[in-house]
Amino acid sequence: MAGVRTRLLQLTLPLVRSHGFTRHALAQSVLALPAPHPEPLSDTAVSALFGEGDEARRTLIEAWLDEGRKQMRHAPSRSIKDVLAARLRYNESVVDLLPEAFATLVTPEGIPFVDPRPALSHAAKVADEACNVVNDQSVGPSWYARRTSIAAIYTAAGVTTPTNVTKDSRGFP
Amino acid sequence: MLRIAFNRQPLLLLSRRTFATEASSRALPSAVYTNASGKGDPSTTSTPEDITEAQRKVLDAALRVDQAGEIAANYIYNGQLAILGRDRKLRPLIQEMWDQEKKHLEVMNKLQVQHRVRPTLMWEVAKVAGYGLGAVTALLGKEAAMACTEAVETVIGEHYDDQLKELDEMSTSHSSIPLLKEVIKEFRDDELEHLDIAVENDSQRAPAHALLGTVIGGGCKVAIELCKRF
Repeated sequence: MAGVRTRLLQLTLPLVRSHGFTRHALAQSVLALPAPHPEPLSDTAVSALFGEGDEARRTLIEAWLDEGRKQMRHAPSRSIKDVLAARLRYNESVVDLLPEAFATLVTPEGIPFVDPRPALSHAAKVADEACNVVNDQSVGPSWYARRTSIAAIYTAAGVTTPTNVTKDSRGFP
Repeated sequence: MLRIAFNRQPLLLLSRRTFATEASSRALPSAVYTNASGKGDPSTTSTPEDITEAQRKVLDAALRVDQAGEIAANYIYNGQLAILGRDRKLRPLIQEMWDQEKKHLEVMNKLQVQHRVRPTLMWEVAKVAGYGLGAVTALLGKEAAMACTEAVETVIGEHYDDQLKELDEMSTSHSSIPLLKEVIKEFRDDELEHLDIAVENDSQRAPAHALLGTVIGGGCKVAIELCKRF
């Protein structure tokens, strides 16, 4: 079951651009199998495989973020700048969808307030992956200092990445 | 248990020291980390990706604790030497043990990077507590300093044994885990050798030896549990 779930998540990732981080995208994943399923997964099947309601969407978002970290290993050079740039470029194709995706992550069901941990965890994982790619040898407190600064840089760069905006007839946003 | 064994079987000390001497003439497992021979080898440069999340947490915690332990051990000997550095008999012994711990720490730092382990948040606490423990016990006398070494190395030796059992349960085809087990065995034997040295140098004649050993041993176990988590 775990293998099927992972495989379908991988097949869903290319569909995010057109279908968004949605249960519908997950349902469509079976159509991309080598021996395609005749029709999309039912909502019950999506819930069984990936979780109920927005939990399935969170699973997809986490899988997309995991893939983004893997893509960092293919940066053109082993500098922090290029590695982080590679990660930010991965965001470009779905940049309009990211604010809502992160909002979904930080507002889990059953909790009446914003939970910043998923966002902090994401930045920390990106920073750790970046350090791993550049073969950082830090130990002890400097391990934390380096990753904290890289996470802050990545977060700031991500926040300031422009999203597409709708312009009025005069060309103003 | 080890203490009783040493009281009743002093020959065990000789046999362990003889083994260590023989081992030193062979290439030690940790040598792949301390010299350049292991560069580029996956066993020293990468971490297994085919272990479960639970096993990853076990590996993470194990290496974090080991690294913290070696930091503390370094500073214990540093503290002891600061007080007992003028003792002609103990100085070379403490220096030799400290030099071994420096090598252990060097290897643990490389293992931390290789396996992408988060180092302990108690890093600076380990330094201060280690130095303080070494210096205070040394101020109580040579025997108390040796009792401190005996207590710490007993806990560490048992801890490494427990880790070897955990690693035996790890099913992976990655070559880094068998190497890690060999390194831990080597370090365990080094720590037990330090225990031998401590006993030979009258650790059991320290004032309130049993109380000192219990308190220090208990403190080490608490530190191990804290470093596993933090």
